[in-house]
Amino acid sequence: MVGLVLVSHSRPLAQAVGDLLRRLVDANLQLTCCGGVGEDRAELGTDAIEIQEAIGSVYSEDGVLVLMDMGSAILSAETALEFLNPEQQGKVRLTSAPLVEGGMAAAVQAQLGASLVSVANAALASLLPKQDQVQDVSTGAPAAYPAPALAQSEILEINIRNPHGLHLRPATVLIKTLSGFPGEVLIENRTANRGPVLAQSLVDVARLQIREGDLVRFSISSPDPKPVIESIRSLVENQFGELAQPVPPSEAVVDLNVSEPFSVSRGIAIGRPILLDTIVHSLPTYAVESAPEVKREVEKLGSAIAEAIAEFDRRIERLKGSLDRPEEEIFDAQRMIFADPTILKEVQKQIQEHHLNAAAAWHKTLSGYATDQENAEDPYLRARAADFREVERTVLSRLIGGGTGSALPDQPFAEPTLLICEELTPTLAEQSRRLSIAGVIQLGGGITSHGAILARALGLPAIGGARKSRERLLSAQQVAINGSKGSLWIDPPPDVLAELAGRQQIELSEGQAALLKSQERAMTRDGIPIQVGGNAGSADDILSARTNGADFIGLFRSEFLFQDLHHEPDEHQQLTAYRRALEPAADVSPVTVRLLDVGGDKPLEFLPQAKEANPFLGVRGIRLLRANPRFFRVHLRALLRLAHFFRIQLLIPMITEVSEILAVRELLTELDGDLTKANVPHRWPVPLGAMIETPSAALMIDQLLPHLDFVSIGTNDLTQYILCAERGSAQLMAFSDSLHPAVLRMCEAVIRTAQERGVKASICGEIASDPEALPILLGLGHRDFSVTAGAIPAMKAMIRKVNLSGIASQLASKQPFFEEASDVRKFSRDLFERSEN
Amino acid sequence: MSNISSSQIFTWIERYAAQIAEQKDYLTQLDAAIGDGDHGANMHRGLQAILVKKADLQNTDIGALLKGVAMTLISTVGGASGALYGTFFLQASTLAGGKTELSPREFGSLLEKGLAGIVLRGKAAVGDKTMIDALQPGIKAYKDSIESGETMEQALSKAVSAADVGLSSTTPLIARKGRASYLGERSAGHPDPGASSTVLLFRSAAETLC
Ligand SMILES: Nc1ncnc2c1ncn2[C@@H]1O[C@H](COP(=O)(O)OP(=O)(O)O)[C@@H](O)[C@H]1O
Ligand SMILES: [Mg+2]
Repeated sequence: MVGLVLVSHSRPLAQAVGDLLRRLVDANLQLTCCGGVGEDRAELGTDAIEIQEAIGSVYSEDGVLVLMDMGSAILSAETALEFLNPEQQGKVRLTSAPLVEGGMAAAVQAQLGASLVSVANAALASLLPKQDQVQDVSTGAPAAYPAPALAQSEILEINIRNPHGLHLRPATVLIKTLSGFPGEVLIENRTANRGPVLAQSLVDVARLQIREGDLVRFSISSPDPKPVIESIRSLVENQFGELAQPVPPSEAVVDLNVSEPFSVSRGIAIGRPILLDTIVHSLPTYAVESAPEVKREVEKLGSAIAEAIAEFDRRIERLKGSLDRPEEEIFDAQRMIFADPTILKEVQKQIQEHHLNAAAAWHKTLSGYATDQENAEDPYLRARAADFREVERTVLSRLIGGGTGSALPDQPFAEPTLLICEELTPTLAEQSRRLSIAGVIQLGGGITSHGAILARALGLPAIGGARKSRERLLSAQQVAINGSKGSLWIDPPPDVLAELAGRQQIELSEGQAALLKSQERAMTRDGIPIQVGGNAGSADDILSARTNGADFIGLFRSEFLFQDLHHEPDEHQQLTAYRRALEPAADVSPVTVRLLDVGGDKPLEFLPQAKEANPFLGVRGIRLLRANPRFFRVHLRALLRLAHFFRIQLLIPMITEVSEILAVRELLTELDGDLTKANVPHRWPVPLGAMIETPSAALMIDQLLPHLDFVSIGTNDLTQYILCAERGSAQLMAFSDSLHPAVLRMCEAVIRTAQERGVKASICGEIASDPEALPILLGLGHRDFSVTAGAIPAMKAMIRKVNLSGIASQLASKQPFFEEASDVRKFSRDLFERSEN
Repeated sequence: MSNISSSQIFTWIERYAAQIAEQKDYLTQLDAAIGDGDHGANMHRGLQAILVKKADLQNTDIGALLKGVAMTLISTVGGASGALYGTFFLQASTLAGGKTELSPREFGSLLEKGLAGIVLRGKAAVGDKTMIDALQPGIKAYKDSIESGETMEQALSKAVSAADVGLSSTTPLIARKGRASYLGERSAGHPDPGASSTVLLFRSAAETLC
């Protein structure tokens, strides 16, 4: 453990700090305090000899960090260093970090067993969080504006008329326009006496704080200034494009027609909206000192920005058709922030001169700009802060979360909070429970993305498609959603709020009643037993499936177990992880364990994949496993050994044709031989099944079945493959509905063939938990389902209401005429109304 | 020209201790104006501690003597001046190991070596309102005088006046090092206490080394 020495002029002060660290961090820190001179060391001062001895007393090979207060404490500590032998000198560092904050940061690192360099770096960066919070340190904004002199410039002075001044959006338009001309233009706010700045950096122009009515001087240095002047004039005249399209008023009005959000995960949530982008991340604290380190950080930053821009452009490309002009311009502004030369220079300076790591430097600079905007008087300008935050986060998540966007706060939110995000990722959904997030509002997003599935599993209310309300969400105090209906209220009036809160209560208690009943097997009204299993990916999920009344675990997703691993887990680690996860399932059997299903949108760090143009049509599922034969063998061995402890059956993901099943069988038989020879407890054969999620597997089902013990229809992927519509796309929502007649036809064919051959077929897609879908699926002959835990009670309740006799024949007569998903849904609703009456 | 003996060196330090004792309150007063009001007390504590060790220090070579002075100052003065004067004597001692006599020129080198140590330690330069403002011109005057063949007596008296001029030059300055730097503008208008104690160091040398 790195030793710590605290030096203060005042002995009691040093001792008090030491006491603080021992109490807050760890009582067993290698820590010693010195200070004071004269008799009983009661006088203020420091003594180099005492410091030297103190260093010796905590010295080890790991090194020692010395923290001091000021002045002579530093001189004495330096002197003390000189008295050490050369070998020790190399392992003792003095730090300029503040005594208390630096001491805390250093103690935490030391206690974790970090190296001297890390401990020292942590101490150095220890003021950042405080500075971030107090916001009193400017982010290196230039004190004086650079005023480059332009030769022979034409001057144009003109008053700006935009009601919100020259904020980001019009500034973007201005810069874009001017960049089309040769030469340079300087802008100066004559009214506020700010500038001049070159019209090339968005943030420079924004800093001029040009408001409505301000007199602005443009100095144009160009071989042909006339057209430049003309365009500036006309830009100012039509208010940089804002004239035609008045800016939406900043006061939020409740107008449900504006947004067309959709349901993602049931439940009502009420709370304060928080944009994911405004959440403060836990930043890495290491400092960069040496030239190569600095270079590396700068490069890291560069590639993170480049990646973020690329991703950003892809997103805009996808959104293009659905964006209105003002929205497009907001994205333009964000795009410029990414590439702003002034911002980049400032961040690089933070790295080079202030030794911040790339993430910290980026955060400090960007959040500085965001804060500047937040402090603006104009509420419209204030909302623009979000643009900086969004850009900040996009790059940060690449610098910190390795691109997973998992940079989230450490502490749960104190008040009920609704998270606003572009799309609910699995990480976000998972973290939301830990962070006590009441609900999620996706600006885009779909309903079958993995994040959405998780949200349902976790009982986390969520809606999607709220982009049109983004602006108003940003300035709202309170929002409410009804995840079952996909409704959104922004700053709802008290009566609406009261009603929502009432509904929330009722839903909760209804849920509790259903939970009780759910422990029993479900039977339709006409006495047909239906199996309802639970989908799970962890011990928690299994527990939750059990409390919700799962009859078995119909799908255990292996990938969640491996998600956070950076290195490939060996056989033992896998076995241990599975055993731990399946522990709560010891007496609900069987558990259907799906082989590791990665690729597509669920990449794993230790199974790197080449970039694919279309990962969903790429090397995923069984394809990826077979492409990594060494890992695949280890994985299967672990599963065969797991079968010794639990009643499991194995499910192969992404099967396309028979040969793949045969290959897996062959490998399993071979591994069984190996394990038997080595006398390792295991079990083979165990029931082997295949996911039916490619159209090919569905069409070839008659060939597959002879080699299988069961099949499981994965309606989520099957739907996207049949309808050629990406899972997460908000625009293709209509094609993400598994009740589409094309999907139903395929499911029906599979279930019929399976029943003929006496092979069990179940549905493990989300569709089964949809109240409108359930009667249809039952009518088609499905008797086995596995759904997300939270949906089980409602589903069992629903089953108990259904009268199966009759549905099948009605369905058979109508089915040929269904043209789209909505036809099926309408049929289902009619069915219900009839049976209710 | 006569050499400086080790007993003379000790007498120099004793004389310095006496002058500090005499000027203790004045120095403290100076430090109170721009620092924390402890410079006199600090220096007095350190030099008295040296006197206690008189028996040990008197019967050694100049190197050991200066080193003893240095270590005592370092561990008892407490303020910046302890580390700095301590470093001064410590560095000086490295040129006097085993020596019982120093030529005036050697003595000059010792002072220079000590000054270099202070600069290295405190990272201050002339004009920062520190002891260096007195120490540097004092040493330069001494060396120049010796180089031009003048006597020890002349050299040391020139050193005292140069240090004195240096001391007065600190009055209008704004402190940029040490505790006084926290005062910023307010430090202007007062002489620097460290520079003042440095003048005493030269003065006691002039009274004892020739
Ligand atoms: N970095 C430095 N370099 C040179 N001299 C310094 C430095 N810091 C302080 N001093 C000198 O030390 C004197 C103050 O000494 P003292 O009061 O004993 O220490 P402290 O400042 O710790 O209370 C100052 O007047 C100045 O001459
Ligand atoms: Mg002082």
